[in-house]
Amino acid sequence: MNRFSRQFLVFVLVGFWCSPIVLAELPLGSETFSLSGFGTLGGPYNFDDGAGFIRDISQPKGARGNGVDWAIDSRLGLQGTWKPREDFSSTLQLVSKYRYDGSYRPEVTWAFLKYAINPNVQVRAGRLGTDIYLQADSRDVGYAYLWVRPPVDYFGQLFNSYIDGLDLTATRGFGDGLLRGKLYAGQLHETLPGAKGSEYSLNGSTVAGGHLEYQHLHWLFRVGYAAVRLENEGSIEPLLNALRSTGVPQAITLAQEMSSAGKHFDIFSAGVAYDNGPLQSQLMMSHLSSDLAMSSNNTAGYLSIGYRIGQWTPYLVYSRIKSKDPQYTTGLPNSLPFEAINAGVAQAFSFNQVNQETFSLGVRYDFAQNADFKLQLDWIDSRDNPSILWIDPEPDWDGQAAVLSATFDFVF
Amino acid sequence: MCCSKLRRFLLCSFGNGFPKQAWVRIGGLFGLALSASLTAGADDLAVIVNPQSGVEQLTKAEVVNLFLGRQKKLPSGATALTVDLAGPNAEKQQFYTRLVDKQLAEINSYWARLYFSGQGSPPRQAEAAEEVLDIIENNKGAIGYVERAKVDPRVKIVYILAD
Repeated sequence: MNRFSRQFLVFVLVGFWCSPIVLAELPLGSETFSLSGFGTLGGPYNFDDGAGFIRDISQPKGARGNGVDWAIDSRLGLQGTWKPREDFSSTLQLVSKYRYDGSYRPEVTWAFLKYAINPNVQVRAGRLGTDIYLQADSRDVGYAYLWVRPPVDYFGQLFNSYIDGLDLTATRGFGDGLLRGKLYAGQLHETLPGAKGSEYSLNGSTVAGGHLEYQHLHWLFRVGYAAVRLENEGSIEPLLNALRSTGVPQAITLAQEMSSAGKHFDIFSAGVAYDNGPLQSQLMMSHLSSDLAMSSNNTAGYLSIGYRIGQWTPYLVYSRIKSKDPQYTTGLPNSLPFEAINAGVAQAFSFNQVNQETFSLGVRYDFAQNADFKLQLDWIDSRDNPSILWIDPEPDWDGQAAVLSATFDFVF
Repeated sequence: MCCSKLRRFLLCSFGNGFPKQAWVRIGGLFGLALSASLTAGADDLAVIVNPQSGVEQLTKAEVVNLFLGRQKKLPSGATALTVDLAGPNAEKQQFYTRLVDKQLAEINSYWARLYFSGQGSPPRQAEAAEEVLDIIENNKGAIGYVERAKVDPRVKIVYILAD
């Protein structure tokens, strides 16, 4: 955590734990303060040992052969909420899960103040969950969704779970339904693991975006957009320097296009959910584009259908992600002394590619009012390897894997 | 320490809920044919508000929006205070079955998503119909539900959930 973010957090925490307004109005022993939590215990068994299966790109190592990998899906969250008045509240959430550095160090995922200007308009400030996609801000709460984990082909490439900033939500009636809009902006602070033990810090990168939803009884329609600007240079800086030092104009241009600092991501998403009694279905699509040359410019989507029968809800998911084939040239002959540079560039490009589809079949069993058990089988076909969604694939890996997962989710 | 709102929503009546629910179900089965023929609408659930709320009637969509926390305002403009029964119990299950055809576990899962993403809190949980009536009598924006037979002049019916 850098100095700015630490100061920001201290400011927010001091602001809401010690504010005289909060203390003055706090009737002790009532429900003004609440503490709750959520958790998941379980994980995948990857029948294939050719590559490491991950839940999302924040995970440094994946499940491959060797029994159930508890790290991938297990997590524990605690949330405290202080609501001294109907129009004002503050929330702090800590989550412990498998991190980019291989540890489970708890992280502050939410720390915000919420103020309702009126019942239909609210602002939040502080550390906020980002819902770039539908449900993206509750990915850690297994009890809140049907699947063992959010579809990896769709949610796996999301690189952050929170922002330090502001959001504004407004709701208004529209016919018999509701129209809801949200705008947000802030800074990113998470770190991503890279190839060969490297890391990429999102510190100082910014995101701004919003979405519009229309909800009518069983239907939810949603469109969203987010713009991200990367602040920091990646771990391939030595490679970029080598490209520049050749003096070849094409190589110098390519180095500029491959440099992360100052580059942008545009993320569009659209989808529809239909939820009627025992039937739950969702169709979501997204498109990511970037001016960072080796980023995975891709289109992704999933279709999920579940149907409750008593306490059991069997479900089916089909998901797909495909990145555009990268177009680049180093302008360097593939001979000494340039071979190594060409190979390095090719590797940097291939690392971010993805072309994958997944069929999932699973069941959620609601055996209690606050806990469930899930079993899910995924058949995954990763056609271009290496891939951004697999860790260290063997050179001869065929890209096909079956993954069986079981989780126990609870809230308290 | 106080009881968390969500925990209370999920657990506080966890212990005493099941036997009662089962009992009511068994009783309901035996009494079903008789009561249906003698007193039509006897197990109707009434959605009720404070007489001063300025609300005369609600549509089903409006009731869904309020109880699922999608809309936090009554049509009259007042901030809504939704009042639920602390579950699980037969009346509560009946309410959500008739309103959205959902099991209570699904309703809990729904609220877990909103609560843990900081978007909203579940309705206030009342221990019994009498408490629902008290809360509504004392809060202009309150909205809740009770069996139709328990409705008294302190509150106003704005929607009926029939079987």
